[in-house]
Amino acid sequence: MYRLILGIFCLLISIVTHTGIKWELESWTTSPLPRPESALVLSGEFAPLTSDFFLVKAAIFYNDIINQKSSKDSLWLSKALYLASYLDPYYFEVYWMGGVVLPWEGRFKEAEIILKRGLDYIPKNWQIPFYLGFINFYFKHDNKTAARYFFEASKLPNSPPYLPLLASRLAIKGNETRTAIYFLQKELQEIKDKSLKEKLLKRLSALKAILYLEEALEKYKYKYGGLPNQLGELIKKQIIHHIPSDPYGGKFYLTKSGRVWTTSNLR
Amino acid sequence: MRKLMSIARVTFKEGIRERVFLGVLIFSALILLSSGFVADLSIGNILKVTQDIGLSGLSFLGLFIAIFLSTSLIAKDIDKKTIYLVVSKPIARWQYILGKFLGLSALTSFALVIDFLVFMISLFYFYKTTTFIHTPHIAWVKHLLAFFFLNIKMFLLIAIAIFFSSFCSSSLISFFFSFMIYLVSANLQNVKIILSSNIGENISPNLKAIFNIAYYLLPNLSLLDLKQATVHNLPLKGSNLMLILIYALSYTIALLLISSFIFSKRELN
Repeated sequence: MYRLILGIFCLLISIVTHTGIKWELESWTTSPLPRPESALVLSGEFAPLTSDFFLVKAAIFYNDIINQKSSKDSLWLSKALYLASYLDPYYFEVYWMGGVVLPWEGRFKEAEIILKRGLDYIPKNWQIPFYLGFINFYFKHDNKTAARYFFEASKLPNSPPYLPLLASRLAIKGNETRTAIYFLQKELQEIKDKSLKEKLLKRLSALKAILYLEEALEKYKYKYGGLPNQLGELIKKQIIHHIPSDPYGGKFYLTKSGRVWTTSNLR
Repeated sequence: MRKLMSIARVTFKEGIRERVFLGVLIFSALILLSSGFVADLSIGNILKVTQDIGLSGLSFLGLFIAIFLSTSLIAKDIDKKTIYLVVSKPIARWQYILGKFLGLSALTSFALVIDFLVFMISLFYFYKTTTFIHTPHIAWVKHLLAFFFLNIKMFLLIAIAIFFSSFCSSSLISFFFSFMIYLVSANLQNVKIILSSNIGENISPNLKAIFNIAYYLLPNLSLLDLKQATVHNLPLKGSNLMLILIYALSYTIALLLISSFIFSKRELN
């Protein structure tokens, strides 16, 4: 009898302590990741399934970044994606996430490492060199390499017909904002996930605002032969009526090199 | 031949009557049936995740039956002394081993076929009822091929389990050994890849030599694993598959011959 009472008592203790435990999603998702090699050996023949698991973990973590629940440690995200690509190198969606999400979180170097793995394993997929080209063009400002990647992508099956044009245009002159809009619009056609779609739409509208200002600057340059000191002069000279608002809550300004940028850094 | 078949039949019936067998079979069938719904919760290529869950579930089921049931059924014969009834009859020891092997193989294949059908139905239903942006391609023929090679892999595992059961005194020890061999041999290819990458440069040549011996001595189960090739529809070479088949079958036969030799020398008391 006393065993039963003791047993019920212990059960009660565990239930009471359970109510005190705080379930921290963040600590679960950002738990330290295993080394890719150890994970591969430990999961053995179930490595592809483990890769699915880490991609889901990465996606949950990214969702937390979007909703600002998590401190923005995107290094963890890039490590998780690298791990997923190591466990199943033929899984395209990992490279997709590496190419579309990582660079915008400021991890374009890591994204490049992951995508270069993809080039080796899925050589017939045009999207992987396309993402690499975009990273080189928009984030690294290396138009030569970007044009090379875009050209490579355009030779692969099912690639969109505008790619060769894009590659050749880049080889002449980088038109960064317009290309970024191209890129986002193409991605938006294929995305099902609602929160990611919303995030990309927000970025698209910000980029469209930048493009609007850049075109106004071109007109100003054509008229007055130089750049204004501030964006406000565009309104004074009646080239535009107002400066569009940044959906990220920042303010647009003119950098010293003559680019339009925003105080929110598009984040 | 009739003696062989009767041992096989008894083993098969004995296995089916095991409650664990039924439990695992139903459990894995449920997992396979729901693989589409589980994958729907995940992110990324849900069709890929469905196939991953399905093929891994099949592997897991086979693994359980091949190692756990094989070792426990033979040990049960010896523990409960039912083996005396068999050995005292005019049946050679090799016939006992081969009969056990055939019975266990039939049992494993039986369970795998049931679950494979469940998986195929669930995958087909999922494929037809889900809307995709790009209509994906499922390699149905490769699924059959992967299933065939999964069976061959299980035969090899059963032979390994029988080999250890032929001289180990308890089922726990033979289970432990068989499982360890499985863990090592399912990873031979992975370790080889890691050693040939830049990490391998820091590893001593002696260790590498030991690995190379193990690589050729132990059964290379990763060769028989076509999961990745099926899910991603990677090209497979017919001649290479033929070689893999010959490799696995000859390894299985070799293990059975050695086990029957050891078993014939063993004193049962």
